[in-house]
Amino acid sequence: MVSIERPGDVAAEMDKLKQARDEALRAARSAVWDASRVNRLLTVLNEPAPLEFLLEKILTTVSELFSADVVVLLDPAGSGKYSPLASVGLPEDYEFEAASAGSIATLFTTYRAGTVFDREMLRAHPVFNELSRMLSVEAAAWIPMQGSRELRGALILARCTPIPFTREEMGLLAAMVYRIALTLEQIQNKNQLEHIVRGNQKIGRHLEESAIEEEAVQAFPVIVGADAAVLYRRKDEVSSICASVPAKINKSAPEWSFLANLLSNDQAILLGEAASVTNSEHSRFPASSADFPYRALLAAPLFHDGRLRGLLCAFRYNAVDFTLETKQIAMLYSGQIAAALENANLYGALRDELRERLSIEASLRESEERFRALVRNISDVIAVLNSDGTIKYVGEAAARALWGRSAEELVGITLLDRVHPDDLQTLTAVIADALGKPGENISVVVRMREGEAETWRYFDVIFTNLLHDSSVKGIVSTFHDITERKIFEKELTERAFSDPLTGLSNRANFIDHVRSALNIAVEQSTSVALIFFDLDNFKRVNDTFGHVAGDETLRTVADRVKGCLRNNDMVARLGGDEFTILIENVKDISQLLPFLERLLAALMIPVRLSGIDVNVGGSIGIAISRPNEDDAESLLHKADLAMYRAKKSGKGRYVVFDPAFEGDLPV
Amino acid sequence: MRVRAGTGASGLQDSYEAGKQAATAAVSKLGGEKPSLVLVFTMPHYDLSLLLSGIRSVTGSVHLAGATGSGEILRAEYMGFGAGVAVMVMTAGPYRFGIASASNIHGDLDQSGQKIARESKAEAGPSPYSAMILLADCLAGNLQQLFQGVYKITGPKTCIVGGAAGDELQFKATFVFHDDKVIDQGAVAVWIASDKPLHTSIQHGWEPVGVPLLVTRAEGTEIMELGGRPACEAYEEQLGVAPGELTAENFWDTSMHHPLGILQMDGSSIIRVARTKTPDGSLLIQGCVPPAGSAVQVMKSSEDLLLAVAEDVGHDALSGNPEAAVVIAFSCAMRARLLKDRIPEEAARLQAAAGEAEVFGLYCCGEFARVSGTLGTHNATLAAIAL
Repeated sequence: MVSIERPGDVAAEMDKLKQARDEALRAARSAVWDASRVNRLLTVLNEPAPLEFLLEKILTTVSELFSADVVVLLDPAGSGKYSPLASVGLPEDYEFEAASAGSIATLFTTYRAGTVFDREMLRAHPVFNELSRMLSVEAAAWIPMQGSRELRGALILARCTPIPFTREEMGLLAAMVYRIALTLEQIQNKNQLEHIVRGNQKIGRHLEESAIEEEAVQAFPVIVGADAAVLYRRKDEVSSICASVPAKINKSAPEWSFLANLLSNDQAILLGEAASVTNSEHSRFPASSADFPYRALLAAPLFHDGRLRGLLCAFRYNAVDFTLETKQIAMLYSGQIAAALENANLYGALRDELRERLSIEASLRESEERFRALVRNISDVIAVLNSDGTIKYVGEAAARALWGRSAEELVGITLLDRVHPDDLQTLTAVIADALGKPGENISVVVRMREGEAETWRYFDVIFTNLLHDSSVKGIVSTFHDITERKIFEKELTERAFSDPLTGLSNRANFIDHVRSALNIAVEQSTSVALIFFDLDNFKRVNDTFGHVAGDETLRTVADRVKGCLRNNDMVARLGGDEFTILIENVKDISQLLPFLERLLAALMIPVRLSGIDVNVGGSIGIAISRPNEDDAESLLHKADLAMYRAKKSGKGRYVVFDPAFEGDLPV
Repeated sequence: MRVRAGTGASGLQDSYEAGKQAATAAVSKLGGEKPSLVLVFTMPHYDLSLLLSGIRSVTGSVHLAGATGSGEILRAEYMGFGAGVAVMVMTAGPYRFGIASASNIHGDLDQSGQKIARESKAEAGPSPYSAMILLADCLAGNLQQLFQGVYKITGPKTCIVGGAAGDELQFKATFVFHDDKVIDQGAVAVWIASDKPLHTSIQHGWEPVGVPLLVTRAEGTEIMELGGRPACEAYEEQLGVAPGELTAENFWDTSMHHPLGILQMDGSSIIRVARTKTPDGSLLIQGCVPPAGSAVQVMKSSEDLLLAVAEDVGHDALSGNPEAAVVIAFSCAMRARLLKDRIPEEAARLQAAAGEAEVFGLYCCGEFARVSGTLGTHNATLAAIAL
């Protein structure tokens, strides 16, 4: 017999079911919302965009995703400037620094970790107190921004509603901020290099020392992220500031005298390295004053012929030290400036000499002797060419040293014989250009043969057409050897593509390689495999043994992984303890198994830290590309999802991506 | 010092005379006081310059802002397509007004937003609180960019409310007005400086169907994938419709009843409308597309639910400013389409909630109102401010 329930029971049961359904929907919404936050931000970070546009996109997205009415990004370049680099919701006339009464710096020292500010807490710091007073902010979050090497700034989020930021939100924000920092870091490194290249082009237009000094000092604060700069040079045994930003400074103020000390006594500088100090760590750093309001210094040496000729210095108002990368950039720049100044010097001397020759036709022979004497003593090759490019005259010593040939052997042959085949066309065009522009300086970089071997050196060449000048009757050309600088530039560019800690490729470089590998795979009807892994116990290593041990662990793992690779495989560190490997020409997963076993075994070997063997372990996700379907980002995402699945299913194992993982949320 | 406000309308065909008649009716309710601000909402078919001349022959050269639309609200009355022009005049009371406009904003939306906010604010002068009425050409592109430009100047303490001008759903040309100027492809902002806090009200009456989906691919004005699948297929599944049943021809009939809601942190949704589907199964979105990574839900509603928000918005607007003389409302042309014969109830319910205050409104192609964060553009939504 069927029991008939009373209507009340049915209604109650229905209510229960409805409640359960609503609960499930709420949970689903909350999960999708969390995934949405991560996805939206990652999408923005992965879109290539100019820095300014990217910052705005990041901040508006964060504002949307966290219902933050105000978002402020402070000092992401680690430059020590505390005015916001970008913000949304700060009205145009809200003067953030002024409103904060100069107390922003203390935020960084007081709140080293992410901090939630509720209504009460807002009063604890003037920056937040002012946001609350002026913009009716009722809840805020402070998230310091950790870059790959150091603290780079902070993100502030504020709500005008009394809804405090939750623990989960802070966790998510911390992870997002780390990604933001890395992205900005990469863009900024690239921008610095571009600034240098542009600066170099500008400087190349000048032959006057004072103009080069001015250009050099103008660009320097932009390149290294500083507030001021001076160029301090030793000329005729007297050292002085010859250019500065701002232009008007009190050069005779006693504070500046420490530059002399730096030039003569600083060990790093004397060794040709850039040095940096802040007033808090260096007793000889002058106390800040009206004439010298600075608290951090970066000094790059200006060398020529192995002799220290001056310093290019940048200053910050805040006591925030310059990073290692910035010092390297500064050295690259100062190397270029030193070369440009030396060139200018030579031209000055040469021009003076030529002028003098014109005025004293009578003593031509004597003057020529002096001209030769001058040219013999300088390290650049100076040559005078006929209009057809044959060498009419060339400085003996330098030609022998740099071109490996005596002047006698060179005179009469065409310059084009000495030039790298790939540069021939350029050089021919430049000479033709010079012929049409008497008296003008025209510059070009070309490779010239060293001796008779197939070795080439880079030269910065400047042509001045003085065919019309009766005392010269030729094209005066000066060859300044920039081979060392070119090598350094190349190293630096390579460094922009590698992870400084492990020496492995960085994310940007890796993604580039995956993209081209995918194209090749499509052409060859093969696949590429992308392997994604992180260390299961890395957080514990960091927490227990500290960051130095953490870094050591990452280096050890990087070395071990390199040992597992075949010739054409590529490994990269994406950030944190996340590593990826690219394997090309994959036809079947079974082909990867020996490698995966090797990799897993390598990760299982304990790392020795402070005399203790620590098991770091690792979980591995693998994604194999499908032709014309996957792009680099989606493949990486799949591998990430597979790794997430590997971790969930017990760590220390590998899992190959399956479309069913798509709903998973990678941690 | 309380605000006095008056509204008037005209259905005359002659542009100048219609403007004059509507303005005369509105000004007559000010009890002899001079207006400080004139708002004009009108059908697009007038000679708009003449219309403004007719209005200003009555109001004089005080600040005037306005827009063409797809229907107007005048107190409890709904003025449908072709009904004429509606004018609202108000005295300054405790407020100070500033007005600014920009033309040819397409391609320069952010800067244009900054410009009109900066200029209107400068004219009104500093104040502890403020609000802005923002009107813009609905064909000028992604108006969220305009909104973001405005927000860069205002910050969170200024309430922003308004709508995108329309042309009775022709989507050919829409206009905004600034004083005696008719502006093509433009935007106009009225800054309201106040000593008391002002308040924006906004509600839409839509509720989600099923579970939210992630936008996994979006470009330009299209959502290509939802949850990793062709967007239209996922959309059909949510509605329980057989795959492929929605075609380019019948899509709008369904999608106007089921817009998408972009999920917000507090569980609420911001509405976006899919106009049509493309041959490869993407959804073509009107206005601002939810960016890739957004969580969206397919929404549903009913005439009753859509109408119920009119009372809520009216009450909420007034509760923030009980002494207000006027409630300025921005509803959506799509709501009018959905409510069909019952659309006059919206005006009636708003006016019932507003009591003594005069309700004055426009049916727009996209509404502006900021609740939190930077997102301030809406569809199929009702927004209002009481002044």
